[in-house]
Amino acid sequence: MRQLFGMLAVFLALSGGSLFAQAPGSGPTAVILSGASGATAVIASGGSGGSAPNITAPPGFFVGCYGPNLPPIQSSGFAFTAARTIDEVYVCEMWLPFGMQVGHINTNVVATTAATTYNVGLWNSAGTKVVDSGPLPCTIGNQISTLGTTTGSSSSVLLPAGVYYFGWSTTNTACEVLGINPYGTDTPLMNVTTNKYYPLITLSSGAPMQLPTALGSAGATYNGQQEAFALFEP
Amino acid sequence: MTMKKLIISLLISICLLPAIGSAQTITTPPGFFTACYGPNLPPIPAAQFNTIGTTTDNEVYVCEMYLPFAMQVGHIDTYLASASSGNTFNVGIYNAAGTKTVESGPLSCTTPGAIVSTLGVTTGSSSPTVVGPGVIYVAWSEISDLCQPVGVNPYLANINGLLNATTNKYFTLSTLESGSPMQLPTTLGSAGTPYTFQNIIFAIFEP
Repeated sequence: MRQLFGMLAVFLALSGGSLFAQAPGSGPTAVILSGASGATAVIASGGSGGSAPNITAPPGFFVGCYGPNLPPIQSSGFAFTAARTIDEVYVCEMWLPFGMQVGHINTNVVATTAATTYNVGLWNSAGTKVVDSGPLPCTIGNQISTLGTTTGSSSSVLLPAGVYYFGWSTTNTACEVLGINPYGTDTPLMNVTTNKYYPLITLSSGAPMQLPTALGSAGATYNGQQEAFALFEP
Repeated sequence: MTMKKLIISLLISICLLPAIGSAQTITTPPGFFTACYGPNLPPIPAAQFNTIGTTTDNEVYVCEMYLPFAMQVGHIDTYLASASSGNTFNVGIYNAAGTKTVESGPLSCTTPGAIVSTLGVTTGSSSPTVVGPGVIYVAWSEISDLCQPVGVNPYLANINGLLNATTNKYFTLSTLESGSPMQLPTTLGSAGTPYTFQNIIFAIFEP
């Protein structure tokens, strides 16, 4: 019996202690990817063992479309995003390498239009909306959605690591949010095998205004598509 | 059940559990990575996209990158901006040991627009292959400077030197692509002559 307990102890030691939860930041992390099939895949980060600590309080953030870290964009590369069509939703596929509790969405308006609004949000890899900012006012300056508090917003939500779709829309084409216009006429490359950077066929709607609850199908190709610059953080 | 049997059962169960943090693989969409940049679309303004050419026909250009997950690569998406009938270009991946694991096969430069290699189907391509997680090298080559896919030219002379100061991360190979159908070299081999104006092809890898 003593030998058996000894074997168990040795096994656990050799397994790197990965059967036990790790404190955030205490070691190599693994990340979880939710695939389209609904199955949860565990993907190693290159470290041995360890579980993924979720970010539930600051510090920590990611940028819609581009993921963790500030994107290396020169100031001249920023653009004032404008919608092609009122309430049309522009999305891009992205990968989040860690789990994070999203409680705030920070954006910036550069061209104001009275009584108009814009929404930003996220859908999971299955195409179901998981975050909605609720309608934010098109008033110049920083506009922050506090999830669960801002009118029409979704609740604060813990997003597991994996594939997501970031999207935004405005109720008026003159409502311009700070963003990036990255691809222009090269946009078709992004969607040649699967859609990664495209408008939705379903518009935002409702009162308060809401992004579609499901991604649905892609709308007409838009080579001038832009992406709002939105920071998601706890 | 005796205590001894219980503990044996426990040990067997633990052994059969997938290790936490072990790698599984993205085998179906969604999921992608871009050459040299990794997951997520690189935030490159439209004005900074370029057509990428070559100074030496069949010369192979390489960049090192880190892929944080494992993915079965089944498609390579590129976009041809400048066409030239009869010419081709190749895109591929090498593992950290410098062995080629993914080969697009020669892609036609005849018609501008999106050009896709479907691995295992496109003539001269490798079979769908799992790459990552870890360090990989992405490589590309053209048989003529007239064949120009879309890419970016991110680094000028002094930055090129910086990138390769300790180890090569953004460089040319001394071995050219060759064969019929045209193929990238099977191994990275040694670096060729430094090329100040090396470009990076914009290629998307996905299941």
